[in-house]
Amino acid sequence: MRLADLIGSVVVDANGIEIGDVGDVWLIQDGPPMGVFGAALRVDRLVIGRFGLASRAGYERPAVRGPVIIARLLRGRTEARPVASWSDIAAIEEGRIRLRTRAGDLERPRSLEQAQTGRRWSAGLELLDRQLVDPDGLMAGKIDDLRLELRDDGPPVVTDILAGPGALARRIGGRLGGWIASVHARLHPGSGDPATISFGAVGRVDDHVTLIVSREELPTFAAEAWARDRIIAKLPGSGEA
Amino acid sequence: MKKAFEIFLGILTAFGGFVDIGDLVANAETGARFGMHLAWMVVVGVIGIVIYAEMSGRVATMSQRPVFDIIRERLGARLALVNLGASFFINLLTFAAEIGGLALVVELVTGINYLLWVPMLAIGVWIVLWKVRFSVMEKVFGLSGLALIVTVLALWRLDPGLANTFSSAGRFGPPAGEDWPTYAFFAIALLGAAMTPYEVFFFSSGAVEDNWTRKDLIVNRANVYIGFPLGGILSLAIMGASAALFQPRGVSVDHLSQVTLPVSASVGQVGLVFLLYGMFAAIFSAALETALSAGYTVSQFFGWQWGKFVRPREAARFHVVILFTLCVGVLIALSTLDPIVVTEYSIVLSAAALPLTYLPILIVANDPAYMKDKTNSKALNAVAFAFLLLLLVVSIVTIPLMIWTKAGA
Repeated sequence: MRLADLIGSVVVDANGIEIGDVGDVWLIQDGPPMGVFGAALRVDRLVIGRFGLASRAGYERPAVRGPVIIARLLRGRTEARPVASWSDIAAIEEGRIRLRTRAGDLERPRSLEQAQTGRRWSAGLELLDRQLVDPDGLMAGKIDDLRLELRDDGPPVVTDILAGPGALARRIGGRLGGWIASVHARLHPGSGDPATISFGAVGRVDDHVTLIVSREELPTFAAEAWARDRIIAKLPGSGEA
Repeated sequence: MKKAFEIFLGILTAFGGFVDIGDLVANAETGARFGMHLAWMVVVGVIGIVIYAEMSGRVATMSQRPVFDIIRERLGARLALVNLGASFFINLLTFAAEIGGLALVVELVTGINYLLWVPMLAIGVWIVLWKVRFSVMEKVFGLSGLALIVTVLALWRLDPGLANTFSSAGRFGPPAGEDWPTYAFFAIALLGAAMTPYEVFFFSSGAVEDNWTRKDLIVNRANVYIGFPLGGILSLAIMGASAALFQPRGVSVDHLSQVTLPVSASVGQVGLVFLLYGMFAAIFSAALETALSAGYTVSQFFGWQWGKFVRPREAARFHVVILFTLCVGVLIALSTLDPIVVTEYSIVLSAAALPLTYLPILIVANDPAYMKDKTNSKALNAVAFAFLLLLLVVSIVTIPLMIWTKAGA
């Protein structure tokens, strides 16, 4: 499963009433150990409300205050949104998530609160669309999506970063997304799967994501290598600073 | 002394935005038709770009995230892709116009048809983008563009004391013979020209290219406070000199050669040489700026390595995008589309997309996760928010107004 399969899905409560869309997914860092990054990220809460500008502007964090009018407008749309835990989910269908809980019984936290068991992350705000940078400071793609591994014993764990057009296509959606996906599949006969980077290769996450593996070792480098070898290296002086 | 030369990123950015081919002619045209009735809009535009360029430079300095990274992080993949499509298209059109404009300047000097110069000049642009270090590029072209100061001298010679020219600057509203919609259309074109998004794409990426850190925030300020007002003053000087020479005679301006008349009439041959040199440098700057912006925006959207701070083979796809832009730009320029008309349209079209670029900058400049302690002050937020509202209004009325006035005809 991918994060993009959750975000945007319609959430229906135990009585069959539509509550809204999944606007964001909060992750909690308390899973099994995963490389330098430490504990793995697990799905913690589905935040119900549209995944639009309001959800991505960052005003659910109290430290972001200005400009006052924009903050008030956008915070009003993210404040006290209902959130569902993994245990509230009865079934995940295509584009639809059924809860075993009634809408009125869902928690409504005022903002992205930190938990005691581990650091809590907003996947939409703090991970998606962030720049990947390798140990030499060279850029290595974006987090276009995250792969989630379903577990029998609890919520899904984030296992991989998905990057490149194969992953981006599903985020973009619609006819253009479908077109990107089909072009990608043609260029990658066989699986057609997006480039995958294990989350164990993540060193640090702040306003960008630092990897502990050189970008040349990553599957996202294939297109860059092609452009380098077929076009740029053939021009004089391409290796000079 | 070393620091004194670090203001050329701002100057280069501003010249490429304010006195490129479209603006050189648009300013002269505005002066000839409206006198200085629209001069206030240049001032408004300068304030707007100063505020947002400073923010974009500060964000890039504090977080190493240039503007298109921010756009993607705040608008998300889908809406950022819409912005990318619009920005790339406008960049491409503008680049084509600048190459055509550059060739027109060479035609003015040599008398040889501009179409012959287009491919050669594009190769010249490519060599600079491929070989010349970013810091050398910004100094050479920023410094050369300063030759345009001769237009200020021309304005002074044509109207000593500036009393006649600026007597109309204080009045709001169109002069006799022009109507309100046309006046509003030209006002939007001036604002759009001052705040073209490629300026912040280029400036913020340039801050990363120049490796600015926290201690360079003062350099960032100096760049925007000197560069953009200087660009604005040159715009006003061109407008004023044109108003002084052409408006009383009822002459309308629609060709580049007319832009040189106020200078050659008042300062003479030497002045003309300076002007042509300055125009060449400023338009060349704009060509560099738009071609690089095309590479920056696409690479930053997809997360590819970009920039001239690494060798070309380390930023292969970035250089492929630039090469693509150059080739398509040359084809458009060779199609004999009038470069001046092309930039005028692209400026107005870009005005419609302005909020998609400036809103993410404003939001992130307030986010301590990127900015640490260097978030916006309340006063800055108030002014920036007012500008955002203005841009929102502009983005809504631009295209209807363009159709209504037949693009100011």
